[in-house]
Amino acid sequence: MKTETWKYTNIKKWLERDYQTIDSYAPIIDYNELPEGVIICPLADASKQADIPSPYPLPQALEGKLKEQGFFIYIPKNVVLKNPIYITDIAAQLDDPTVLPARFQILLEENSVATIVHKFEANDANHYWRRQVTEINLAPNAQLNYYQDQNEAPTSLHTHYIAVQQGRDSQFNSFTLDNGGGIVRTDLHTKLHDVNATCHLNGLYLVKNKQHVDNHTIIEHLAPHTQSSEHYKGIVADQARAVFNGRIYVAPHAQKVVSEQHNENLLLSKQAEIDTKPELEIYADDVQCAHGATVGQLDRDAIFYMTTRGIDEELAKQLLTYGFAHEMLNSISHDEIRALFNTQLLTWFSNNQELEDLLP
Amino acid sequence: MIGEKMLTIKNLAATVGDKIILHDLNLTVKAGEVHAIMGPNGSGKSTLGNVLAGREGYTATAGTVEFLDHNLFALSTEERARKGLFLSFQYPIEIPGVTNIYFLRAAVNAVRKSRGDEPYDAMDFIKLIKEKAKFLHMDEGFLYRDVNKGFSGGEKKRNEILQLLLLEPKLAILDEIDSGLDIDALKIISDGINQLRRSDRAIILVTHYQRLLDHVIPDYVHVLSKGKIVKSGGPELAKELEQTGYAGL
Repeated sequence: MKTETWKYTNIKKWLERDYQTIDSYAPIIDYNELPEGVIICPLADASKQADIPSPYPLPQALEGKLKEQGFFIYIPKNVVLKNPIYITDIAAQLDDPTVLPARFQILLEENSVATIVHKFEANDANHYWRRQVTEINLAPNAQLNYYQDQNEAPTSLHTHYIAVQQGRDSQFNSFTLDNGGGIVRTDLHTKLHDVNATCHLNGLYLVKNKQHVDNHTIIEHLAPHTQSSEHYKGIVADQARAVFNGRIYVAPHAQKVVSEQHNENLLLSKQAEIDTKPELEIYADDVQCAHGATVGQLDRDAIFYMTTRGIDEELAKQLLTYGFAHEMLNSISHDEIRALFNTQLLTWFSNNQELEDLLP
Repeated sequence: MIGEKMLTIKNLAATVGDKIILHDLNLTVKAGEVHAIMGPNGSGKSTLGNVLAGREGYTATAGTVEFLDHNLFALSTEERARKGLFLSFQYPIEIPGVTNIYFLRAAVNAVRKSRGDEPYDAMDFIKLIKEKAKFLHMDEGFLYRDVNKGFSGGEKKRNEILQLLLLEPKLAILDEIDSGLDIDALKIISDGINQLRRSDRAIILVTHYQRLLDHVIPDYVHVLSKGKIVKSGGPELAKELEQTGYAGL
């Protein structure tokens, strides 16, 4: 664990625990009007399986006896799903500590389009480790919109490794909302294997109290004419800490790549901490790659302006903070999902009645 | 009502950082009156507005200011606003991410709540604001943009007057509301200010130019120079300054 990629996130004490396990894994999977040929089934029943090892180390006690369960989602060729598939994973009524290992495999065939929302929640669960792996394969011209709504218990560990393989002309759009969790580590790794593959990775992390949220992303441009954009925003309050590490790799033959990365952070307290790091590794010479990271505080002039209009200082701060975060939600084209994430954003503010009354 | 004391400034001194900007400033403004404060750049005009509104970094070091029955300096910025003090900004602040209409409703409802009036719901507020925006020849699109963000100079000033019309303050201090406006915009803004002239309200126009005072005729004109009021008179004083300039002071 003493590698550079784990420099800021320490899960050592979690690796030394003696875990309980659960026998059955049953997330709630919701969908409407599923076209013929679409498969959603437990992983054990799926005939087609790839196997990517999780990059997270295992506690020794679990070595060899960790039963990974999960689901397989298959969208056949030319099928366009109109409605999102909602996966709700609730860590419910667990003994301390429990490990929840789960794996999703998502396969989109040629020209198919799907939207998946994966929600992580907790109910009467404290010290658990959600150890999630998601493998995504996008065939040529397939498009997946992948949303994560992470709302784990503040005493939990959440690790999620997402590996995406993208074929020619495929598009992967992701939005990661971190609104909960104790220690959270998400590794989102996408490989653009063939020409004109595109990914847009967006994220919003809302971090307070003693939470620790770490987003590591890797985008590999392995073919010419591939595009990526990445935009993560974060609000870090109290004694919380956030990490953003965005690695962009452009292979030597991958000419004409266009890539853009932005990370913007709002620090709301003197004890809050953000570690942001772009890592650009570019071996091709005809590429357009731009990146920028900012760390700022609430604008005192804007607060003053609002208070001169009679607005309470606390509400002025909330409006500014909400505004900073809400801009990120504009990238979500699906109305229902945008509304869901907006509700999550509002719950982040304690004492938010006035703010809530104001907004539509 | 007319003649009621609105603002009484006695021997005010103020610093910005460690620089003394205002000293020995005296001014009395009563309900129903319009005062113009004129002066060259650097005379302390904007500092006066900022001190009265309670901006960070602007410190009153001597003197007293009474606003209605209150010791002004005992009130927070938002309390001053709720009791009826309004400062328009020479350079209105841009607030990214905050939609104009939510900002405006938050402001109006904060002031209404403190007066004991029912806050407006979203529908009633939209009706009200559309009417005011129309009066100022403002496109409705304004309301759904971020506060002042990407607004032209003239649009920002109109947005200030829109807030003034919505908040209906007792005392409005308008800091260079006329600067950077073309003649049509100046006319619209002047109409907005004139609409607000009432026996129970006072207005202080802080301006560099006499031009505005052709449209909004003040009752009193004061000349601010090097941090204090050096001359006071009627509207004719503004005309005189236009002829002689500030150099003669």
